[in-house]
Amino acid sequence: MTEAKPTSEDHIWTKLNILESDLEAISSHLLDIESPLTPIELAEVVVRYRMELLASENVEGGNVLDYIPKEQYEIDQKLLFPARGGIEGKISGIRKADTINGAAFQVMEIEFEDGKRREYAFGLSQHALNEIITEDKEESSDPVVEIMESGGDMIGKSVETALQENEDFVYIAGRWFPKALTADFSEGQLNLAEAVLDMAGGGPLSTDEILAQVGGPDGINEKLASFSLDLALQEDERFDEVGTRGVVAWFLKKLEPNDVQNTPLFLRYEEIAHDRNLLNDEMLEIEKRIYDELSPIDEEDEDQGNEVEVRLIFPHWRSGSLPLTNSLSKLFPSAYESPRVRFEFVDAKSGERYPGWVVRDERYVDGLRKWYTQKELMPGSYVKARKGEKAGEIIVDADAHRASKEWVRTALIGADGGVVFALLKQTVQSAFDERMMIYLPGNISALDEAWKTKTRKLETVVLRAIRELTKLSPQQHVHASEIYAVVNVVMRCPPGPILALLAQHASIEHVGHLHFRQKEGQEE
Amino acid sequence: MSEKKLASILKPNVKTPFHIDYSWWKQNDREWSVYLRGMLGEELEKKLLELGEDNELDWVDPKTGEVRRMDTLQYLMAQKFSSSSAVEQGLSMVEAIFREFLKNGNNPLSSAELGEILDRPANTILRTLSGTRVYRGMRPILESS
Repeated sequence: MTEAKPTSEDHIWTKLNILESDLEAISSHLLDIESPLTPIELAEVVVRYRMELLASENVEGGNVLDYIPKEQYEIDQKLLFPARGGIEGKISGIRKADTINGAAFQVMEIEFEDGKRREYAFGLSQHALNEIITEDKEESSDPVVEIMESGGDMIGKSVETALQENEDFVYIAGRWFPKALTADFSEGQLNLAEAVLDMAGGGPLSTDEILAQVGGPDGINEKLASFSLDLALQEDERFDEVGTRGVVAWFLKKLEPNDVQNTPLFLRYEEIAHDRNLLNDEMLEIEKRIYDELSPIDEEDEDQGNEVEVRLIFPHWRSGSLPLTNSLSKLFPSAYESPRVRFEFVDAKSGERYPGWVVRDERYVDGLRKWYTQKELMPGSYVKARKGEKAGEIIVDADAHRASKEWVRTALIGADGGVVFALLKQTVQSAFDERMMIYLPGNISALDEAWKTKTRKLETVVLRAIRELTKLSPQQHVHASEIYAVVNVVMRCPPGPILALLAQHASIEHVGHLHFRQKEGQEE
Repeated sequence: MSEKKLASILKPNVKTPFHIDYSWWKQNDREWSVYLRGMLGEELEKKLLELGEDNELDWVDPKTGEVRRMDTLQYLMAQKFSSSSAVEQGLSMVEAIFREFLKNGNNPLSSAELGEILDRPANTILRTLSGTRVYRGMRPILESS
């Protein structure tokens, strides 16, 4: 963004270079309408401004115009003749017309590109071509609309980038407005907004709901008052914008659940360096199928459709959360920029509702702790999620069946938080993945305490997991997904580092199809 | 090769353009101006006398805006028929076609185009205009002519 005046190069719409003059046009348009606009709407403002510039250049620069009999022309003007197939000609002479009622029009001699000369009337108020050409212009789609249809998104991005680099504009919930034109809200009004949200249990409340209580500045329109309040709330750390895309909703930050404000202990991951080149195709495939939010998965590879099925691992089960994988993120409400989005979980069977939060940056969804307990789910249980009928609703289902006694892998927690595994008969309430199921009976506070106090080394945890699981396997080997589930009972780790370790560790042997065992004589 | 012989070889079709061939009027000793004056009517006859028959005026093509110099009589004829409906009831086909040429400044029109304008079958117009008898000088424009 440098020059003030656009050149012809700047009018290549898909590569539009946003200039200072464009921003001035945006600013003056926003001043006129007194309403904030989205980048796409502002892109249209820029395109219209540029089109007007081009049109004025045409007149000044002697560019070619359509011949319309009612218009006035001067010598040397170039014209296009639609009735002659759009051929171009130049006015080489002008004379008065000979008519029976005196000259009601003038005659111009046109020299065509092919050298022929013909005469045409101009300044003629009554002629069919006046109507046809005007109608054509009206009927043909607006060129601005055409440009916006083909390149609106690109232009919108260019406009947005230019606005981001300019301190004179402010952005709230997808809309831009000149900062200097926004209305001020006093500290007293913001304190009142805090009290309003406090009374509403923290929120969420829409800007208009808050504005109705706080009162807006006099003499400005409602949209601008609403935008100005959004700006004031955004710049105040007490408030958090938690609305879904296109909906602005405010929450009082201090009343947001702790697990939303801070990543739950069980979901915190200390990056473990590993060489992803060690992962073979089979490993990469299972990494995809595990759907861990910390795995680097290509979006297109992970699309599960309208309903997403997740196998719980201990960290999410204990936190009452779901991983915000790419598939799940398509179901959950998104926002333009707010890092936290408030929505509602709805139980598929009972219709009971649970407040949910998307924590975008940390890639998890919070709000299911109570539901997991009610459904008696365990790590390894399947949870299905799909979009509800209303925006901002997610239906959750646990595929629960009648309670049955089954032999399942059971974690026994020692007083020091150490974990050993045994195959025990337990009452199970819902469908589960046999490899990833871990039954956790009774009080597990010692395990919680160990998460808080102990720093684990992945190699040690993996080797111990293999040893523990091998005891329960008649074949004396364990599957990678079993190791992943067990490792995550004591430390948060995505599949990648575990699989890389399994691939390269000297004392671990791959026996096929992602089954591993510890080499003989190398056990502790 | 004579013009007549060539015209018989190049058989017109519905896309062949026709016009009023003024040379036909001369060849056939027909007085074009006398014939047209008979169609003018009292009011335009007065106008013709007022303006003078040898005067030239700027006639504007109603479709293209092009200006053509016309003598007063032709100009007045074009004026007379310019507001009349092409599909006028009670006119013979030949009369309707002739008036259309007067109205449009004798711009060439094919049988297909005339059929559209006059709402009559193009083939019937073609048979009428390309027969052995020439009606009011309306003849095809063939490349050699």
